[in-house]
Amino acid sequence: MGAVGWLRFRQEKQELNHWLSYAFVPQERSWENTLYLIYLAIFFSVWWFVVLVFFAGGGATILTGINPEKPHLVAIIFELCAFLIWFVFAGYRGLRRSPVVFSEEDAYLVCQMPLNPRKVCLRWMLIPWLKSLLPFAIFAITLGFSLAEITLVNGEITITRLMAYASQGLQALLVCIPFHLILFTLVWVIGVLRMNARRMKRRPTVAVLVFGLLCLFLLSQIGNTLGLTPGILGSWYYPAVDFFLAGFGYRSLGVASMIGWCLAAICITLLWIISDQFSPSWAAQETKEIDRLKSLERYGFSFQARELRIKRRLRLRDNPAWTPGWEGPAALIWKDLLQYWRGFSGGDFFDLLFFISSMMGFIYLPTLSSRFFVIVFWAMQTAKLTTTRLQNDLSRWVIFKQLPMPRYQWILAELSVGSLLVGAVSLIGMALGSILAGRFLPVEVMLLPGMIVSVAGMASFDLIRKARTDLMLRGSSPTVSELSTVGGALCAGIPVILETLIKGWPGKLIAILASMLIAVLMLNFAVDALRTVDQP
Amino acid sequence: MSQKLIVKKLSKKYGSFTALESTDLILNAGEIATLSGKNGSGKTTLLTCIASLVRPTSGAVQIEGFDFYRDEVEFRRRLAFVPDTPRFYIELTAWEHLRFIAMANKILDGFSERAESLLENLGLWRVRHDYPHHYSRGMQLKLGLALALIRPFEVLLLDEPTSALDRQSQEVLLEKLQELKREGVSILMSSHDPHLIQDSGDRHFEISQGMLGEV
Repeated sequence: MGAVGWLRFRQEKQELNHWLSYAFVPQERSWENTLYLIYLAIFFSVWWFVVLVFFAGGGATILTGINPEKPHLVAIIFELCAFLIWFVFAGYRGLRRSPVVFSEEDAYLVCQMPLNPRKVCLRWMLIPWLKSLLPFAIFAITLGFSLAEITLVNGEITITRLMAYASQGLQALLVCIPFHLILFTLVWVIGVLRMNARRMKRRPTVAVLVFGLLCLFLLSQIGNTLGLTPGILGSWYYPAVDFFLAGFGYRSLGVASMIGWCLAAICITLLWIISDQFSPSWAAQETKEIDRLKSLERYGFSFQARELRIKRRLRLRDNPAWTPGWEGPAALIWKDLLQYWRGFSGGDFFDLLFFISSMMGFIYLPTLSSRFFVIVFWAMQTAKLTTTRLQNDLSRWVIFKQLPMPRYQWILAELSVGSLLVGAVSLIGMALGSILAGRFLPVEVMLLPGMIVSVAGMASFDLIRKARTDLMLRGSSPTVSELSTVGGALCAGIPVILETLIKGWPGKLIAILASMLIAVLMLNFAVDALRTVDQP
Repeated sequence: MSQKLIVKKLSKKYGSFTALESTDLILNAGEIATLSGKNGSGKTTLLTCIASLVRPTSGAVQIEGFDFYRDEVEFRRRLAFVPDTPRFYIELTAWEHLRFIAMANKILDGFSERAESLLENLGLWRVRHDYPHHYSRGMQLKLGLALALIRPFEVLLLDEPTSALDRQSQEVLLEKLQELKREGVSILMSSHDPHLIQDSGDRHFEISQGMLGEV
């Protein structure tokens, strides 16, 4: 176990080093470097403090806006809701796969060894818990700061004022930590119970029961705070509410912390007891792909991570898809439609919502500068969505390169499905924006196709320009760079600028013509780039 | 005998490293040529340069007089390349891959019959609606072959086609190659298998440190 403990320690150190490496060189062992680390810790603590104080203003407005009399109760509802949502997701995931995540290397090095499963289970808990705790800790401190903002009178920033913020934030954090540890451990208990039941070839009834009861418990706590559940049951039945009240200074913090840590210890003991039957090799079978996915995302291989996620989602086989009699470049459109359909995920849905909201903003906002700001973000998403299939096809270079069709037909077919999708959702956004703003802007609608094609053309040009055949033959393809996104935003913004600056119908006409001209130019760049792939 | 594939002074450099020295090669109609050499000698580079998957540093390739740079579409119609590690779209099943190639090549007439017979021969009919990423390496190689064979071509390039195939599938492949040879197709394939080189090739080339020579 000593060797495995050491291995896990190395993994934890590597994980920490990865995050530190954004601003620090962990390998360098000198006192100057240690001093620099201390400086970084102080700098980022102050930075986070200032950022959260900044958020506290908004938080205070929301809390008092909902309930001016008892804003702390609103804060408790927010915190409990966050915990409930997370617990439902994490607990459900625990019912489907092992909570203990092993990498492919662990599967061979650790899980095959005759180790004490209890120790393995507990040893693997630290980093996942800390990572899971972080957003809750930030949220709790922000709520604490927001409540401090409400109680403090507006005025200069003084030491007393800062101490008040720090004190409220720390109190909120101190109750959040044990509460999160209790729930996190219970998620692992649910997962281990499920695995134990599967091992005995029984239904995971106990695991489901624990999950259901805990969800009900959290719901009842929220209900009580909202005044929906009977108060006659007394505070004994609503410990979580009392717990968070202590975090916001309405109960004894010492008692709450003590109870919290005692309960956490009990939960950890429970996990220790039940993980006697825990099978690391089984857990590795269920989770090694998850670990790979996380590694890919952590190191910036988003394209490969997306492919892995789709692979995991797709079944072994599928029924024959709709097969039209299309031929030539239309085959690419059919393939792209099929790929979009089968690869569509919840994340893509949120991307589409982004297009709707940004175009609503585009119509609603009155000034050129604010509109241009929207266009930059819209262009970033457009570049990503319209070139997804091109990027995918470049990574299947052997198939793609053997298709007998002219280059401009390739590019048009490749970009058409993504562009139409962006066009459709952007139009929905524009329509909603027009309803909200009470004005219809036909010129903006006419500018849209040119804007989309310009951004897509620029992004395609950038992708193909960076493409290298030796890498594409190995299944890897480049990603759209920030520079091309800025270029795309400029291309999309020029017609809007022209339309704003030149008044009357000549301005509108010039803007529409400019949007079309830029679009054709960008498409030509992309086609030409395809001709010169690999050319020095 | 008509010349199908003409390779003129083809070379490839990666920085200062020369992967392929200036190479000339002519393949006649109905000729099967095999290519062997040590790992890293330049076999795949030669094949991918001929298939125009990799841009050569210098030289030209023509198929039936069609040059890649001047007559790109016609060139592509006449050439099929099967890599040693084919990569497939993860969202498409094997059958859909074949359908896609047929659609893109405008050869949908009689597609179902041709695809069925091809997949039956290669032993993939039962798993035609599976996603290829679930296939074994041998099965993926067979699907790569099927994607090439589903459409007409004049020149076939194969990169180590038997490396992951079982004995029975190797025989099916060799039979298919002989059938293509009778139809006048020119074939160039790299292989480490001495039996394949001896049994199936009309001509044999060896490549060493990027230099091609006929044996």
